Amino acid sequence: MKNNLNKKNPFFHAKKDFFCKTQIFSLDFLVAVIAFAAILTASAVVWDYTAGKTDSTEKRNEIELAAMNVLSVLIETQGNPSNWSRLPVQNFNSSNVFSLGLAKNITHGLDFDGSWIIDREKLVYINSSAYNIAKNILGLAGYEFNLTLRTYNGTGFVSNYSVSGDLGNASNIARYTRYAMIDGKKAEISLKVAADE
Amino acid sequence: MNKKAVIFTIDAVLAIIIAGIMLSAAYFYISYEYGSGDGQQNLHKISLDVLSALEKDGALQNSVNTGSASSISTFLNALPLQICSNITIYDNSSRIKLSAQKQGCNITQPVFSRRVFVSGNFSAYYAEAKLDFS
Repeated sequence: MKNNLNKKNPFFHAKKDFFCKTQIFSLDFLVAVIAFAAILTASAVVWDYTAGKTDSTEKRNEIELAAMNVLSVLIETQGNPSNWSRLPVQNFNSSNVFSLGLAKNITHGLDFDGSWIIDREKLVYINSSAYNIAKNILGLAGYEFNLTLRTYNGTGFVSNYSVSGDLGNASNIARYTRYAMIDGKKAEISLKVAADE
Repeated sequence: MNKKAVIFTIDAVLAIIIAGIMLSAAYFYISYEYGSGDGQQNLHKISLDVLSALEKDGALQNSVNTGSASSISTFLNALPLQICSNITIYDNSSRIKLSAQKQGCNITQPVFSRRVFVSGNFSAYYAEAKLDFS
């Protein structure tokens, strides 16, 4: 009698449907939440990895570009002023020297013909005591560099000159090599630029 | 209702997998292209350096005068191991005069550079350098 009454009661069916739907809805909801959380977590991990990788790649590109451009400027230009190596050491700073270049001052009329011919006087001017100022003028502030020159002896290259900062703890080093002439001999010029990650 | 939901989920999973594969492929392709561009640019600069040094050194002119490219070959062999190189000298009729190649390597995707020079007999020649990573 009580059951019959319940079945006739419109709220009985509504109550039953409500609970059934709620159960299915809860399961769907639970699966959806788990899936959503998994995707969100995976996205966060991928985002973090990609951001780190991009940052690392950008730093690497920056340091490689700096090394490549500095080496080009050193070999292909004479600097500004072109006779900067004649300046007294106390006047060697970024106020008096706007650009460093190792090419010899060989000018015919309006043509500059000194690219790829390294001036020994300019090279040895960049020594350990002028290292920090040279670094700033070259636009390598915040980095350390090592400049090495090896001359060709007819069969291979032998060490001739080197100037270097402290590259000991650097985790990111870019190295570029170019070729030129010095003292009438072919020479290999290597530049290492280093930075902490 | 449940079947539809399952089908929808499979669709979504497939879509995510395909999108992931495409993104990864694009990322690796772009990374590779970006890196190789820098290398080729530097290789081109080295090829210009080699020709300039050989010309300013007088090695190109001497090779034409003596008819021997041995000094050029020796210099090419002294270049770093990862650089493979060839230098060919042409006369003003574009005929090959001399050629020198680094030993033990093949050039498959070279960068080119050329330099004109005048030899002792006042004839113009041009040297072509082909460099590649070995």
